[in-house]
Amino acid sequence: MGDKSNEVEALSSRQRQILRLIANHLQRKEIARLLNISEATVKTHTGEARRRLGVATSRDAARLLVRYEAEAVPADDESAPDSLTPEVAAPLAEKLATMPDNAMAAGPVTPADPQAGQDFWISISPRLKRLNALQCIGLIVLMALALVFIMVAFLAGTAATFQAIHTLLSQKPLG
Amino acid sequence: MTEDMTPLMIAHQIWRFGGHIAALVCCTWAFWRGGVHERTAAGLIAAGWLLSALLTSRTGHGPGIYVISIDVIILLAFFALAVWSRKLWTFFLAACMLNSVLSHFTEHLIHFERFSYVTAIGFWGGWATLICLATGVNGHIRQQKCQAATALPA
Repeated sequence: MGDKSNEVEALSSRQRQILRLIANHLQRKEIARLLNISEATVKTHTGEARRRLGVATSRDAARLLVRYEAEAVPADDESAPDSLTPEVAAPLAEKLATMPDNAMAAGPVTPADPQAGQDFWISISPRLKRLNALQCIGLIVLMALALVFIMVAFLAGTAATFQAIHTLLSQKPLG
Repeated sequence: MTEDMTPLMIAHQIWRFGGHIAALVCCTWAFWRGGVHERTAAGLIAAGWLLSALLTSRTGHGPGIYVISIDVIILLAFFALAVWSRKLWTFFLAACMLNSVLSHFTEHLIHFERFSYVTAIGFWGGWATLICLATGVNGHIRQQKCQAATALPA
């Protein structure tokens, strides 16, 4: 790993970005679409990254980058407290003090997330993964019942509304 | 369309042919932009849709045993997909299909009005499953965009 650190450092930011997406199992076509570049450009970047890292495949290059970054982050974290200036440390300490106790258990804190509304849906997925097959089927049956109740309530409400409108319109004017 | 068609019949035709168009659009979108789970669901829906259209009984006594069998097989496949993928939309997909299959059996037990039966089947087995699939594809696209955002250089 130590031998490759210089090579990894030599990668451009765009090459790193593409390799991270490859590590997330995205295909060349998908990467091109997400980054608004052509497939040929993606191919050029991955080819250059492979050449710089001296590996045969893009997957190997992605794996190498991910491993390098995973090893590099804790080292940075250890040095971080020493390098924090009072201007940065004070607001950070204040933010940590106001955080709930279980906040750290929920995972790493991300900076201002524009898609914070998705948190609920993201948090459901790990819970579903903890269920066994029987619990999954039970949940599906419960969801089916809930959907029926919602649909019946919606139809009853709609029918009542139409009935009320019809009654109002068919009323003869007084006098 | 003939002149003697009632508004209810016109609505039914819109419901029916609109469903075919929506199925085509949703399945194409899922194959084009979706992940492996979305494509699997789209394949199952497309196969079920085509087979149901081909094997529907024209005798006027409901869709027939072949369509009910297809729906049951698709339901089992959706159950498997939900257990495999553990994505919320696949659970809703299986739940909607379960309601569709239950509508078949309920009709055989209670014999409710034919138009209500066809509408219930069309809604749960058709429109609702397509909504679930579209939600799944949309979620997959958003997830990929999030991945791209987190992969951005600092």
